[in-house]
Amino acid sequence: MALIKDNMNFQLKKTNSYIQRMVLLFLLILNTQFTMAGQPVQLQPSEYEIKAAFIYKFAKFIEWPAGIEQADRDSLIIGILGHDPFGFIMEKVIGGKTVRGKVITVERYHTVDEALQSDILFISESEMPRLDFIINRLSGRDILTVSDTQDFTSKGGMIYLYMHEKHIRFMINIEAASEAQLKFSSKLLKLAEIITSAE
Amino acid sequence: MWNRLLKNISIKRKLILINLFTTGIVLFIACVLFIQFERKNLKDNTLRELSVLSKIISDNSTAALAFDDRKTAEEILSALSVKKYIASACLFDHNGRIFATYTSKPESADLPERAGPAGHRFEGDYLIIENPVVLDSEIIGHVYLSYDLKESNEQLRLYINIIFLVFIAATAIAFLISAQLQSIISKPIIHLSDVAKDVSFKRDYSVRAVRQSQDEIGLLIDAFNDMLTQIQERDQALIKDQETLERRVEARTQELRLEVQERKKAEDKITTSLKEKEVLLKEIHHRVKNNLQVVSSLLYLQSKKTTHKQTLEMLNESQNRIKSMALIHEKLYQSKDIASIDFSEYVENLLSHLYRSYGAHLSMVNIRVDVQDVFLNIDKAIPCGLIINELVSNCMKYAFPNNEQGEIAIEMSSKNSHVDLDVFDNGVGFPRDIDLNKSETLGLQLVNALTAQLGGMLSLNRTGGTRFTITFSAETGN
Repeated sequence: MALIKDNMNFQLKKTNSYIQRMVLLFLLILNTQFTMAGQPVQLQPSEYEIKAAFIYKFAKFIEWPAGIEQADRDSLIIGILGHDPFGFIMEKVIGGKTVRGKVITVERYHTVDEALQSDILFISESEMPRLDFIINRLSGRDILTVSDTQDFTSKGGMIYLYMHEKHIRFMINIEAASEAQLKFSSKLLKLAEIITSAE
Repeated sequence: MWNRLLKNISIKRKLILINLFTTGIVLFIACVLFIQFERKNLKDNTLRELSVLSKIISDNSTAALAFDDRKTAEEILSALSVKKYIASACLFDHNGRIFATYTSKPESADLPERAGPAGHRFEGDYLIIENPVVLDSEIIGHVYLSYDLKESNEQLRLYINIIFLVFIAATAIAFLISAQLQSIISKPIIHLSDVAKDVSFKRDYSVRAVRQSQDEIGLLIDAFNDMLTQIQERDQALIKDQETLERRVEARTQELRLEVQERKKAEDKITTSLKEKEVLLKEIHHRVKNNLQVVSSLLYLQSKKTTHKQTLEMLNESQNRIKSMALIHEKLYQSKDIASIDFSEYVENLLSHLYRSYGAHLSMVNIRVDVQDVFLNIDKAIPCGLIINELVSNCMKYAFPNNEQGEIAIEMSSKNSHVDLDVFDNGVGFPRDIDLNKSETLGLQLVNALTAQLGGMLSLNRTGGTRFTITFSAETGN
């Protein structure tokens, strides 16, 4: 299953066509229905489900300089910049979840300027050619940047999600994080591979 | 029960035992309470520590659970190796499935498959604690810790041993102290009892106990001494009284002795005069007998001067009558008791005399005398003797005229001072025509008169021989 999805994602990344996206969506729904109709086996969560969950859980181990608990804020915004690999999965995973009492909302952006209002920004692989510009544009902002694209952290991104022995692990660029004045919990750091931008 | 147990031991021992017992009980209660307290304390401490430990583990493992990092979770758990008494630990994910485990020793891996209820519980030698792992008010897993109670049990045992040693030591010290201090109470009591023993053994009331304290025992000793003084005073008074009494008794005894002596003298005098009187009486009886003998001899001499048969017979009869009276007087002065004579002896003598007078033709006649315990005084003896004389003379003269074979019996008996006299013969028999009461012979007239004088009754029975029976009272008067 994971392999099929990987293939599909690959296709999606390549074609980026609306029709294909719809087909994929249809297939995924079918897939879910098939398994639901079959044996009541606990579904192994998919890679993107785990990634989505990771993204929102990071919020629990990170402190924003302004603090997200402030009253004038009614939600924590997770933004997806560029091509969205999650689709409805993101909504499904974070649906009804809160971080320190705040509801989580998902926004999808096409430009960096739009993305400035988010708290956590997932930068899609599609944006990699413009990554330097994007990082630059975000500098000085307390936005946690996350991506599953290689070399993301070495190029100034904060968290890079990757597969390791069938488990999703993450790499943290601690310098980038501290520049953005985001405080990472030591518990989180303990699980991560830590690098600095200089590397 | 205590009384019986403590009855026979000394006050000294009693005091020590009571102290020891009290101390022992109190110490025992204290020790038990201490042990209970320590047990609870130990348990509370263990629980608290375990709770803190589970919180720390829970807190440290939130990220590992959130990001599904088993390796880190096991690293966190392995930090428990510094706590030797944690037998095993594990983390469960939010579904309650095992996420990471830790065991202190490989063999002690007795881990649950799924998460149990939160809180603590005891399973055998293990204390189990389970707590939820909470991240941002969301339960993301559970932590399970198993605590090996062996160590805390050992600690408790050590504590109990120490308490036991303290108990023994404290009891020993209590014993030493009470053995020393008991003398405060026992010493004066022992002193008092020694003095009391001395007093009762030696009967010496002059000794005194020495007071050593101002307490109740001091009062007791004072009272005891006071009592001794009183006894001493009373004794002295008693001795004085006794002396007075003895003196008085002595005087009285002297008086009585004199009185007795006087009385004895008087008695001697009376006895002497009584003897003199007796001698005099015997003398008189002797003289009466001699005179009667003389009268009898005179009659005998007179009978020699005549040949007239009837006169001779009359004289002879008179002689016999006088003889029977003389015999009474003779018996009287011969007997020990001057007042009465023994008739068995008298009748024997009388019969042998009569036999000499009339017995020439009676060689074939058996004469039997049976007199049992008959004693008569002179007033009764003389008439009774004369009656026997008349009746027996009559038998001897007329019953057996031809020297036949036969029996003459004189029987006399006395019962309740009533005398029965029987004179019996189985000879020819008393003539039928003679009336006993209106006889013309002097013999029968005499018998009648003498019976009347005795106040008795005369009867005649002719069956199987001739039997005269006279019944009279042996007592004088009327």
